[in-house]
Order: sequence, then C-alpha cells, then structure tokens
Amino acid sequence: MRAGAPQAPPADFQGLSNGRPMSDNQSIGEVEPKTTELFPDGIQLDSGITFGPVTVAYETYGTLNEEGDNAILVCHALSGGAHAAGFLPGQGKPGWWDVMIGPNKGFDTDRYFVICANVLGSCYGTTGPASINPATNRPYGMSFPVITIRDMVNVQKELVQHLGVRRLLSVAGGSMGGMQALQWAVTHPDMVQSVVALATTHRHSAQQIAFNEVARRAVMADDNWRHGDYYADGLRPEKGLKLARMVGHITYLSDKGMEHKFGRRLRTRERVGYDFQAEFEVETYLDHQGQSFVKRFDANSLLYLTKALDYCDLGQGHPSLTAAFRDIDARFLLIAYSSDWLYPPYQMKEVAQAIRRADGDSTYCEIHSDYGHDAFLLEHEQQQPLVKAFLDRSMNEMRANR
Amino acid sequence: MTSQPQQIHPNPNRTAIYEWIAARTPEGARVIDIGCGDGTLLALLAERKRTRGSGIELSQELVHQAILRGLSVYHGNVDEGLVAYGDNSFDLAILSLTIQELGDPLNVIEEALRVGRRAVVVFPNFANWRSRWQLAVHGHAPDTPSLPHKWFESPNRHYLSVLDWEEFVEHARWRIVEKSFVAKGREVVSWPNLFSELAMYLIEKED
Repeated sequence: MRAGAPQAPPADFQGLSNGRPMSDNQSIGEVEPKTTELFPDGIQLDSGITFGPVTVAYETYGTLNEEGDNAILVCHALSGGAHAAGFLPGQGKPGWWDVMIGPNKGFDTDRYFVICANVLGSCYGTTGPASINPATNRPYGMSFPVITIRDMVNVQKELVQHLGVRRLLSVAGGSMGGMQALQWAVTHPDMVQSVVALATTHRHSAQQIAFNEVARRAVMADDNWRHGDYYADGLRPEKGLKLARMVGHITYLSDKGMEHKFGRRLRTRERVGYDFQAEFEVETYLDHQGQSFVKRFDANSLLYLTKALDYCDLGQGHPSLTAAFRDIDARFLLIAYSSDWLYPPYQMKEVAQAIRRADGDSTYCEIHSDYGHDAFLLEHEQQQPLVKAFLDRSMNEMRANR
Repeated sequence: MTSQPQQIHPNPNRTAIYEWIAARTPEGARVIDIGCGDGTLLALLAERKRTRGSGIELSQELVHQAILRGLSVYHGNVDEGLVAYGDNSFDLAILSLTIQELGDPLNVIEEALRVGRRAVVVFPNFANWRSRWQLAVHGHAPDTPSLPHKWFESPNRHYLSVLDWEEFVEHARWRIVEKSFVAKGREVVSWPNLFSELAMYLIEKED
C-alpha cells in the first residue's frame, strides 16, 4: 500500500520522544492491528475537496458491552499511531499509552471498550501522503489534500459508527490528540459524553505555528524532498526531517528537565575539543532522536499534520470560543502541565473558562511537572486516578440520562 | 509536588458549618464553592440538595481530591476562576473559610455577589476570648481551634472579628439576610464577638 515510507508502526514506536516509562505487568497483552476501508464515495474535507476512499488503521482493547455505552476513543499525538496499548505480535515494545490503557488502569479495559485509530494524513496504516493513490497507482505525495483536525475527527466518527458505537463515553488525548478530543465535542456534541484533553489548546498560537513552520521549512529545504515526490528511488529528505525533529524535540522538554537530564555534560570527551563535533550530551541525544525519527516517520506526513495543527481553531466560524462550546452536554477534564511551554497552561485555562462561560461542565487541573510537554505521557501516576474518577462519573451520568 | 500542611475545617465546627449552609441551599440550586478545598461540602450538597455544583481551588493536592470525588473544579486563583461566569450564574456562592486567605476580599465578595444571587461567608472570629486571652495574658499569637496554625505556617492573611466584618458589610452596602455563630460545634447566641469561634453570614446585594 505504501512505497518508501515506514511499512508498519515500528517496534520502537513511542508517542512523542524517548524516556517514557516501560509497560508494567498490568499489560493488556498481545493486540491485533486492524484496518478498514471507509468513505467509498469520498469524504468532504474542510478544504472543500472530496477525498476517498480512506483506509483506517485501528486497534481496540476491551469489549463493547451490550448497551454499547462503554466506548472510549483515544486520540494520538503528532507522531503517534493506532498502537496505543499492549504488544503487537512479535514485537517487544508496548503501545504509546500502555501505562494508561489496560486492566485496572486509567482507561480500564476490564470496563471500557477502547478504540485508537491512526489519523488521516499519518503514515502508520491510515491513508496519508505516502499511500498509493488508486487513481494514479503512485503515492499521493503533495497531491494529498491539506487536512484539518476536524477532517481527522470526521474520519474517526465514521470508524466509530462502523464499530457499532452511537455515543462515546469519552474521547481522550494529549497534544494533537487533545485537539481532536475537543474538536469531537464541538463538531459532534450528540456523540460525546465526556472529553479528557491533556496538554493541548483550542488553537495554535503564533509561537506554535512558528515552530511548525521551521519544521516544514527544514524538510522542504532538503534537496531530496523534491516537492514531496521522493518515494520512488528511496532517497528521502532525511536530513531535513531529522532537523525538524530535533527542533520539535526541544519543544517537548523543559529547561529544567533538560538541565536535569543533560546539564553541560560531555558525551565522549573529558574536556571540550574546540571543534564542531557533537560533544555535549544534549547534542548527541538530539542527534539520536532525530535519527530514530527519520527511520519511522514520513516527511510529507509531518508537513500535513503540522499544517492541520496550525489550522486548528475551535472558535473559528463561531462568534467566540464560548459560543463554540454552547449547548454541549459533554463534561470536560482538562489537564495542563506546569513546565509545558509548547502548550502552556493558559491555553487550557482559556478552554476551561470558555466552557464554564457557556454554562458547560469543565474541570481544569494543572499538574506540577518538570517534564515539559512530554509530561502528559509521563505523569501517568498522577493522571491515572483523576481519569478513573472522571470516567466513573461520566459513566454514571451516561446511564442516568438514558 | 510540594503541599503545605492544610487543615481545611476545624472539627467539630465543620459539621455545624455544613449543616447551616445546607439548610440555606435551595433544592437543585446551582452553587459555586470558592476555595472548595477537597470538595467535601460540594459533595454533601450534591447528595442532599441535588445541587449542580462547581468549585475553585488553588491547591493542586486539594483539586485532585475534589476530582476524585467526581466534582467539577477549576484549579487556579479565585479571580480567574470567577471571571468566566456571567451575572447571576449561581443561586449561591460559598466562601467558607476563604476570605481570610484572600488578597482582596472586598473584590472577591463583590464578584461572588455578581455571579451568585446570594453568598455565604464563613470566617474565623479573631476576637474570640481564647485568642484574646492568648494574646493579652500569655503574649502569644493565637493558636486556637478556629485558628489552628502557628504564625509561620498560617495561610491566613487577614485577621478579622465579627465587629470588623459587620462594619465591612455596611461599608460595602451588602445586606445581611441571616447570620449564625458557632463555638465547639454549638450555636453561640449571645456576645458572638467574644464567644464565637466561627461566624456564618448569608448576604446579598442591596436592591
């Protein structure tokens, strides 16, 4: 189905960056990757283009109950995929949110039916720029349409309905996944009982757009990029993609976290060498992160997904952000992290206040952490009980209102 | 996570406060608890009065506890928590043992009376005889059941008496709907400025 791009979610796949905790013994175990083909007649995108068909890669954990009221959709971040929990056959590493999804965990698979799907435009099984265009029999490349967070959500909606779910107990996610979760409530309020949004925003600020633009320019400045048409000969814009990831990776950490992790330590030398080799630990670390990302991610997908992030603006088309949240029954659990400067807590507060102003029900909590933006993947011990209690109440309310 | 030692409500006055507030909360009312702590009161009102409640709390640890109770809480300071609401969004705004810790109590109570039709204000009475005795006779800053903190660990910024409060209310042109005073969990009927440990007021805006 794809050429030159990663074939499947790789064994070392992780949500955002390294350093995340390994799975504990409460894992859901081996899971099965699934795909389905949706929109045979095409999906109407925000850009006005009709696009299709769309292949969607997804995984499910737990069992949908008879009432069909225990389904939770988990949405992944920029570089994530459908493999959120457990182990894929023959692969050792757990899914990107294995610490939160499983028996007795925050998203308790003994109680809930958890769905995670790779987003439209990504490169882990769902249709994206590296996929083959059935009309030309060649990879889409830059002929892939520009997509939005809402387009991703509309694809997920089709999948969820395909799985027999009429109303989701919750939509949850961090970072780009959090934007999808918020967008779900705004776009399909009748299908969402509750939202868990972590380390995210209602719209990208100038600073966030700026970092994404640097990432895109790094890719496009690579001579191997060739306007996205690089799949045939295997010469991919690796230098550009690597640089983009290095910059991105810095934004996922915090000053304090980096100081703690690397300080000014040298990697291979006793003292500085007065040359330009990577000698500080932080330099070799970024180099390694960039290198491993190049192996597992498609450069064109990075362009499309960062663009989708930049276009996200929940208040757009409404008189205000508050108006966007009016007449939404869903309850919201919003969590920000003190040292996250990529998605600073003030943005989450704006969401919490807009919901409250719209007579909605929002809970906002800032977790103290030095992990920066990555905290949403790492602070699971603090998040776990909060998510559990929140889902409990959401379930009670869903059943009471039926 | 660092957390300050926080005793929220001194017992047994806690029960008295909760009962008094619950009795003044209409069935099914919309309430906001400003400085809701671990959410005990909001949970109690939800259970007994079927209220639609919401809280604001500054301490991360207490916010976590309130979320564990299934409550809706805003983690942040009072100003940013209240600014989100339109006028008369609530039937009742609750400031239970909060105002003595606030930077600008006048402004916050004004805000409480803007977003709420009425407000309950509960505060420790600094002029209780025990405090007076400790200060006047022993020469020590008060450390009493209603002021249970050493000077160096107290979250309190303001020390007010029943008399101070009533002057404050008059000056701010609010109307006292009801009041009650408590010591050792029992109602104090006479000489409240001397004998009460806690003072509870239900106030509203003057027409």
